[in-house]
Amino acid sequence: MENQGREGWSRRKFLEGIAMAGAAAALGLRPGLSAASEDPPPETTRLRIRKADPACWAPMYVAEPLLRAEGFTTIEYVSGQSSDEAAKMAREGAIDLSPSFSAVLMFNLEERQPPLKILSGLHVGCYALVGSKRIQSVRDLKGKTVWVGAFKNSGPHIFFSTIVSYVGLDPRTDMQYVWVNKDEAMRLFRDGKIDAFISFPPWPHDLIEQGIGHLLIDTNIDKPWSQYFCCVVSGQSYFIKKNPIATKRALRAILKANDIVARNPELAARAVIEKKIWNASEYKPVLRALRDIPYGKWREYNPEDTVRFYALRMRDIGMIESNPQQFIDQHTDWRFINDLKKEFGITW
Amino acid sequence: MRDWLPRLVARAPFTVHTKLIGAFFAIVALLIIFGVVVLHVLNGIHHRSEDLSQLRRKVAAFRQIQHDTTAQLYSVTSALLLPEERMLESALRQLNQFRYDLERLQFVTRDEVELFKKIGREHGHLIEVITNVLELTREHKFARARELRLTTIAPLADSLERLTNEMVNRAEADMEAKVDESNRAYLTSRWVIIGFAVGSIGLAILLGYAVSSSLMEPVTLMDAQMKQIASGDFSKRVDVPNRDELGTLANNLNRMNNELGSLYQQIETASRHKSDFLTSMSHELRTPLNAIIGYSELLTEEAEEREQTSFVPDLQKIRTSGKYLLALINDILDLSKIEAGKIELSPEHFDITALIEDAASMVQPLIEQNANVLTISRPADLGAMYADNTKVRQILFNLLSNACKFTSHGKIELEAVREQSDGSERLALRVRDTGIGMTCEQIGKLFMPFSQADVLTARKYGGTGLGLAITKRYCEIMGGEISVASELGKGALFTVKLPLVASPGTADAISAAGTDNRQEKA
Repeated sequence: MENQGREGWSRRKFLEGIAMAGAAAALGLRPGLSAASEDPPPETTRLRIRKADPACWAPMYVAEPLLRAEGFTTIEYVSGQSSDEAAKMAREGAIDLSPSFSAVLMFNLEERQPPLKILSGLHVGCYALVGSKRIQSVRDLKGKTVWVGAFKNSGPHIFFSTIVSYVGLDPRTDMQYVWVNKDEAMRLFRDGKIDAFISFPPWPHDLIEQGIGHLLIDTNIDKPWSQYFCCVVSGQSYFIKKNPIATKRALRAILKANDIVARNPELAARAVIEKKIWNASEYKPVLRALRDIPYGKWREYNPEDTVRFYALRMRDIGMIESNPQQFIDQHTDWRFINDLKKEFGITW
Repeated sequence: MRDWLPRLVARAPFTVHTKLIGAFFAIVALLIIFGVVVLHVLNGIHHRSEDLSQLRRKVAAFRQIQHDTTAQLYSVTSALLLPEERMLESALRQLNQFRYDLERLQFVTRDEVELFKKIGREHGHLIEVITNVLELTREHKFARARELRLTTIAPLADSLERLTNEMVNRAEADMEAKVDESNRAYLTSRWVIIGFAVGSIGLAILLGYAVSSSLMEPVTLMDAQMKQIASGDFSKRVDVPNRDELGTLANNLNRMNNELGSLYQQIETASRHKSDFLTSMSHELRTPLNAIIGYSELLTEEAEEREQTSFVPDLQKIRTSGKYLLALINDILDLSKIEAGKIELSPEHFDITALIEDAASMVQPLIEQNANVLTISRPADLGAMYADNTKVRQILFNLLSNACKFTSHGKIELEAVREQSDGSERLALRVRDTGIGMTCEQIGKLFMPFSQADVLTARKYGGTGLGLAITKRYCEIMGGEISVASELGKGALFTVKLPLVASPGTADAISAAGTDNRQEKA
């Protein structure tokens, strides 16, 4: 399958997959998937969603036909790779919904104050911290050299900071960082010049498969990280205020897409390639990443607790100043997910 | 600010007492408010500490439940691996511990009933499944027991762990909020306390300044007014804004000033009339008196020439009485001139020794009359002085003649020296006698015109009682001073100090001497 090029995927085939998943839900396999919305039509039929390279955001792309079913006729995926770009786009009103790493978004919300509100969790886990043979535990990283992204306050850097501070290390002083791009970092790691490497899938697993490193923390599995959402969905403040029905409908489609990705990761991997997020040649690692991430668990996780957990950790290391409750009050809007709770059989 | 507040306090229609009490109560009220604020702050700190303790207890209880869940899973797994009665009993006992810790959780989460119900439901379900698994194990239905362990207990335990984690996170978040609240409260309290302290100090200073200024300013103004009145200036009025006792006092002072001014005008007019009268009367009296003296001298000479000596004693008595009367009139004229400010000084350079010798020779008959002895003590060369020769001579003569009058068969000493005083050189003349002396009361009246030591003295020793008064006025006019020291029966010491060079302000001194005299009269 990995030999099939992007051209090898027909749009028809992808939509068939979605339809099959929808049909499975309609048979009552999971609540929510079959729910015919009784909401009024959306205030707007146009929806702009941020897109970037994390493969774990696949539900955002898988959701496209579901969004159409919710009444959106014009769905645009707007490229915004970095959190800086995302903040700028939100300020300019260039995006309506955005998937984000929860901790990174929280840092940006406090640091850059973009007009975004966290609406819901997206999926649990995804980041993995890989250590060299010299590193047996996270605390061994004290005084070592690590790669946590190409620039400071990037997603991997903030995730890494919360992970090490959880065991008493000070991410600001206890280790050296190498600010290079990912390919260079992987080369340095292979050469033994850096001791740890954190990234979202599939690269950490590539390194492990090559026998270069071993997992220190896999946020898909290891507690407490596996008990909280890794990525969340946020909405542009003006958009959600002006279009509450559209926001709810869009969120419903994205959460439904989560179940589809859980049940049919192949379909999701194809969607990621279809949206030109990844090349067709990278189908296999993408598929493996999507299989590893427990997309089906989103119903069991309370997004507010994720925000609370990360707010506690980030406040510990001075990344945010607000206390958890202040942050929740200021930067979240749970109205839509609360409305959808019964419809989806959410357990928290 | 500096003026309006004291004026405001001064104008407040309350008594000084009320104002002082009011200021005191204002400061006390501030202190009470300050105390209440501090108590409120301490109360807040106390409550936040209690809240934090409560949250700490909750976190501990949640963690214990998490621990119980893990321990329970371990017990069940052990029982499945080693299905002996001992292991099963251990797993069942573990359930008791679970229930006990749930009760503890129920106790510390009394304020979160819904939360406890949720956890209780999850635990109830877990305990039920665990009991079922243990029963199946006891019945050797291991396959079914393992299946339940994997498909039900593990997800339940996972869910329970998430739930308790959520509760721990909530409690920690609440703690963070409380810590923030404490920090904010601390900052607020700090500024409130600093504000109150600064405000209290400021208000105390302000009130102190306002009240003291509102009291002291009128007092200062009235003091200045009193000095003006004392110096004979009745033209000014004291103007204070106070509506209290000080305001009343100022009004009374102004009224007194007016009354005194009016009285002073009357006295001054009367005094001027008296001086004018005395001047003219003295002149009118001296003309016939000089004629009487002159004719009595002619008649005496004619009676002696005609050897009608029986008339001579009577004629001499007429002449002596006339001269006494003339001297009296001259003294009165001098005094009235001084009082009217009409006296003029004629300063000149003269030799002090010659002046002393002249005065001594002039007084010699008086010395001999009472069988006294005069000794003069002076440096060989006293030099010259620039002053009114006649008046200096009269001062010295008056002192010596006064000493002769009240001393009999005694000693009279005259000492003359040059002295430095206040940066200028002065001539000091000291006349000491061994006469009758004076009491303190007599000394007090000594330099007042027409006043001798007492009536008996006047009768016994004679004299007009104007000599020392005139002497004192002359001293003052010339910028000098006179003092006396005496004890009854032990004689007296008169000291006169005169500037060796008459000062340019002599005319002012004349006026001042006249004014002093008027004040004495007033």
